[in-house]
Amino acid sequence: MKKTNLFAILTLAATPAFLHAQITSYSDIVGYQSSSLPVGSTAIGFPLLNPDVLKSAASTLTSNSLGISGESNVGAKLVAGEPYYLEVYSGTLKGDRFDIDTAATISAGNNSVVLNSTSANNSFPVASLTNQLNGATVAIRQHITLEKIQSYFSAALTGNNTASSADQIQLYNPSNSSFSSYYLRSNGTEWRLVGSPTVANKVPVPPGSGVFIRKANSSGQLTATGSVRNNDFSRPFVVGSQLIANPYPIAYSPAGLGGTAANGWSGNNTASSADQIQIFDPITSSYSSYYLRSNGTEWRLVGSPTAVTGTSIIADNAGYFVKRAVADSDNYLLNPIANP
Amino acid sequence: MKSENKQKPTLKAIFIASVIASFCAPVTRAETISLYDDTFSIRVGTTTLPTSEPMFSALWGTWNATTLAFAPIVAISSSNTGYVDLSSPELSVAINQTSNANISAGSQLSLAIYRVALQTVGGNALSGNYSSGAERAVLTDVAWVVPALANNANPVPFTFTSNTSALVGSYSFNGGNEIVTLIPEPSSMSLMVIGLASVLAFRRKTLVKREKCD
Repeated sequence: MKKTNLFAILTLAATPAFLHAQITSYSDIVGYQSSSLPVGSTAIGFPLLNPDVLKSAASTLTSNSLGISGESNVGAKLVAGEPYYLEVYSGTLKGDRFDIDTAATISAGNNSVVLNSTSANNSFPVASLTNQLNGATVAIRQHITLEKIQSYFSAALTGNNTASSADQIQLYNPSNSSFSSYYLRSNGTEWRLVGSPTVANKVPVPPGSGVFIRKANSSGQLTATGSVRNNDFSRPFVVGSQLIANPYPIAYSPAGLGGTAANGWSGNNTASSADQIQIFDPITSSYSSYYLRSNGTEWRLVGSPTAVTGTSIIADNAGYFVKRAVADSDNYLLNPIANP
Repeated sequence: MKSENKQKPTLKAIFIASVIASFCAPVTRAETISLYDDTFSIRVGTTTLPTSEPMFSALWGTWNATTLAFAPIVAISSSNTGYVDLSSPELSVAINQTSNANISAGSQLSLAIYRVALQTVGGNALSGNYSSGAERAVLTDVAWVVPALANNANPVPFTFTSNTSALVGSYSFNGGNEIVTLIPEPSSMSLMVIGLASVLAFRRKTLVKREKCD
């Protein structure tokens, strides 16, 4: 993938209202990211967000239903069939996310949002929620979906009923170490999991997740737009490999990811025994693997004596693997806007 | 003037060259093994099933020649899915694996096609239980060999060929218009065999009685 950091921030923050000197209005930080995708596979992420459907204070949690202050019908703000998630902006769970049961929320038709307690995308178990969200500011927004990613492309993607001849979006399942490969059908609008007859257009790409996009026979240009997260980000790790992406549209170094033994990463001078960051190179179809050394702070490219601890090896729009020896359910990335 | 000094390759040189070539040949790698076909029909017995038939399931697996049993590769999940849609027609089956942990490179794959209600788990349409299929066929092909599996390598698409053969049911390759014939499930066949044996036994008893009477 060519360097494509064309990220542009249109900072509209702190825009004063001209007629009312006492009032200061704010808007989200918005921008775009452009990526060139060659023929073959490219690992990519989508840090930019869909707009908030609502942002308000949460109230009490009853079973999986979370009350939202100032709302009389949360479900009326959702579109049936679309996947949504709730992100916590304050309180003890600041930065955590929960998938929403869209159908149940619409069906309830009241001041509450129904959380999906079984979603693997939840960064905190719904079953462990008591009153942590009471009074916390939360936002609800649509997930980035397969069809949304398709809309980012300037030229039409290649659809084909033979999956291996079609453009694909691949999601990685850490639980069974396999990819779920979705392909665009010949009609150019329908996405399916390879080997499944079910339409998968609304399959979400959860925040902070990376995907592989496989261009079958022509290169492509992708321009993602959206707002910039202005919040901490819960980033739990499981044992083994996980395909992740940056939650903010900035490049990261291993140090920037908090990659130290003190933060729960495992270092070893034998690279295969150490935690790793693996970045896919679409030109060579191979991975550059970086590992944490035994001293617990220094990162190196496998086979190289040079430290890259503070080097921005992860592009802002990259998807990449993190291989962990130890799980960490409490890992957070601090908001780089509030913590420059 | 330089003289050309071309020598004919000796057998030894050819052997060495082919050994080197075999070592240097790129290893096929995949994380998705798939098969797609849209030129087939399915029969049960001699009856070709209409396009209005509900979907069948299809699944990659292996065939145990000793016990004559089919076993799916890994659990039936989003990484091992398949279906047969006669309305198109369309047969699509895939297995996603990023390593050979669950199936060794070089293993011979087989494909099970069977009539069973399609299940949906986690938003994915999945194949049901092969053992409860009412009608089934198991096919294989010498070309369906598991490659080395690796993260995000190129997909490996397989096809039906004239070399495809049936392990259960039957298969005929008719210039690209394949016919897959399913057979009833073993339990039904067993019942049929038992029924037939009963009829034959009853008939034998009757004949013996008649002989005694004569």
